[in-house]
Amino acid sequence: MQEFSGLSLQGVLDTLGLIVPLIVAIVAGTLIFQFLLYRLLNDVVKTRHALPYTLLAPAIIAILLFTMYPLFYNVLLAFSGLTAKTFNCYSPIATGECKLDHLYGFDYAAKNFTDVFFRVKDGEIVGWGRLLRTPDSTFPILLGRTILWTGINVVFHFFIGLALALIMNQKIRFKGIYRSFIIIPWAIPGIIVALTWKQEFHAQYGFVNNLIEALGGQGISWLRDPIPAFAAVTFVNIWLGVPFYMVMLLGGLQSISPDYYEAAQMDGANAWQRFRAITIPLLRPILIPAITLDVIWTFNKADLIVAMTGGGPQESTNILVTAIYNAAFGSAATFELGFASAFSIIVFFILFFFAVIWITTSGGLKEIYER
Amino acid sequence: MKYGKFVLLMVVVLLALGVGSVMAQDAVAPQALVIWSQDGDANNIVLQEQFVKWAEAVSPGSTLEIVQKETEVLRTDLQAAALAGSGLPDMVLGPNDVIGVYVDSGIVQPLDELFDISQYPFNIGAAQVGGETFGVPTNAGNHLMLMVNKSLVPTVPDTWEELVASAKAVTEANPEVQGFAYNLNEPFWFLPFVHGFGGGVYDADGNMVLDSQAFIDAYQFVQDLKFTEQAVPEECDYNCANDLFKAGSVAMIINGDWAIGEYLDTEKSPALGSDNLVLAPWPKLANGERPMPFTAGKFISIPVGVEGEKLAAVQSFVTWLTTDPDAVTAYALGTSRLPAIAAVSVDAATDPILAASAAALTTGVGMPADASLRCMWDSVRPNLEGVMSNSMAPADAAAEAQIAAEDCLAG
Repeated sequence: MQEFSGLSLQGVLDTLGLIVPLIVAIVAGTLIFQFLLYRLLNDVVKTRHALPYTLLAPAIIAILLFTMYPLFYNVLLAFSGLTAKTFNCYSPIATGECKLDHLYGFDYAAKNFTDVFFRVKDGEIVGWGRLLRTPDSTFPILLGRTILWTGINVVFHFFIGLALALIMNQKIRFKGIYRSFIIIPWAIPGIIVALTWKQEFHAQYGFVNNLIEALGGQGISWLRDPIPAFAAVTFVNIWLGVPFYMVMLLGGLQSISPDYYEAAQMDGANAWQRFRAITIPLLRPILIPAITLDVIWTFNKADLIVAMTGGGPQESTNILVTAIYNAAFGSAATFELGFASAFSIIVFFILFFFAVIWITTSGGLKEIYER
Repeated sequence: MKYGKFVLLMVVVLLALGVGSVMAQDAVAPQALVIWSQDGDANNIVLQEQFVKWAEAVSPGSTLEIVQKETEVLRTDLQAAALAGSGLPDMVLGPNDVIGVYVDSGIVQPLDELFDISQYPFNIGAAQVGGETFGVPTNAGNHLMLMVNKSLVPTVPDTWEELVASAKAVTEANPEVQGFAYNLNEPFWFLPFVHGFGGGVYDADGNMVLDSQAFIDAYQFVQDLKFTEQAVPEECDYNCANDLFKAGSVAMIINGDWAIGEYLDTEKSPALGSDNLVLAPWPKLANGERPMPFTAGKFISIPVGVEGEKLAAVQSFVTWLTTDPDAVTAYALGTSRLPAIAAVSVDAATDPILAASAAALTTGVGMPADASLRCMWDSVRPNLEGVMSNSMAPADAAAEAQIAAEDCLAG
């Protein structure tokens, strides 16, 4: 087998040798656990829901372990004073004298949550706090930039995705091939996309500027000037997000009975009227969750920005979540996990309230006939 | 006669004990060791080869797993493992600027009792914090220097004026080739200019000062180099400069000693090799001074929790790797880097490349391991980006960097 940068048959076999036993152990362990649980529920507890509970148990345990426990730990950290300077107080093996008299407390939480918004000096709030290193890395500015980033992405995702879905819903030749091409951005790992587009936006050697110059324009310093950099990462995220909408909306369009359109046509409705009165309302049960998910995913889209620009230039492409990442793991190595955890809880509540308000006001939970 | 036999027997027994005790000291119980290495794959292969040699002689059956990690990933992973209390490696190999972070976090152990620090006269200070040593150097350097493709630039420039002229001449002769490039927006490449203009990161009292006249002059210089002289590409990061230099599309770059091995390998760098690669100190500024790069090296640190027989194995291996002349020659010189011990030196006649690297090293300043330095990097970076996009004046950049640094240091 040809070697590619260290990929060899032996390497693949060695990796499989590590992974396969683990997978086998997990599957076997799960089956044994389910068998024992079923016997317990059926023979001892004698519940008639033994089988459903048994089948749900692994998923519940996985959620508790991989979602609820990290969530709980995150909340706990928000009540801690964990930074690089107090690290040895929280690490079971780090050495050195711990300078804290307590590890967790409401005083730490108050400081952590306050620091997300304000700068406090000698017990007084003296202004908005800097979340990064530049003067405009305050919470309101980062929140505004995050809302702008999310809004632009979701709007373009929706309109372009809907347009493509409407086209794919028509009887056109080679539809399968077009669909395959459109889904490609969704299939490629995000980090590969980010690194590839980073090269394509290179001021001198990138495809984008080469195309602009071939068309008679002047190349732009995409990743070195703040506004072009923001435009570049937004463009890439739009490119990444369109397939999701296309797939979801195409499924929705295909589920709409053609009888509605026939009836509307017989009543004299034109294309726009049919679209507004039939297509959009019947797509709503799919649109509402799709937009909700898209807002949440885009709001938290850190990987693309970190990979393409690192939050730069001049921290101008940073959004709230990249600021969280920087506080926790940034190159200043301040390791402010307590502050970062508090910050992430604030972001969680922003999105939680958005989701509640959006789903309630948009009628996403209602059946179409109830409206 | 009986006494004679007794004495002879005792002598034999004592001799046997003596020999046995030497063998017991040299031999080490086999261990499975793990090292997290920030070094590149090629260098890690040499490290593995040296470990095998050591194991065969001293600790048959010992193994070394080398896990390569990028600098910041290595740091965060080490901190995360220490927070969890498990999963730490037995050794960490990387630059010195993270050592201060490890010391502040209490996750590496002091090494003064384990190693003879006097063996490392050149750069052991770069791994010392609070008077204690937390890293042992595997090589000296990690310094930036001017690297020239002499097939494109036959005469190495000694001043920035000459460099700019040479760069322009290259592009005029061949528009497809960039005359000069470097990692424009990275503070590590910027700080040497500050040193060249007579400044530094700390003042005489140890306070961080990033708004000195030297910083302003340095910002102005790099801004002029890009926008006035147009001597550098519009946009260029590390990969850009490195890849173009290897391909022969850039005639001169500023890069570090870690890249020398790759540049000497004509398979990886078809335009370079020992025939075309020339190393030199940074060219002189108009004030007659050279920009002075930070110097240190690569260091092996030992996380806390490594103890007993495992620590004995690590101590034995690292001592041998960093003090045995043959091992140092194979690992440091063999990976085109400079030795950190006096017993091994570079022969200018047989290795002019490394001799030039050594000459460039002498123009540098030692990089401290203090954790506060990371606040400097973080504070300078966005302001340097502003200067290099021509959206910030040098004086404003210096002032903002100082404010950001004070904010960072205050925690």
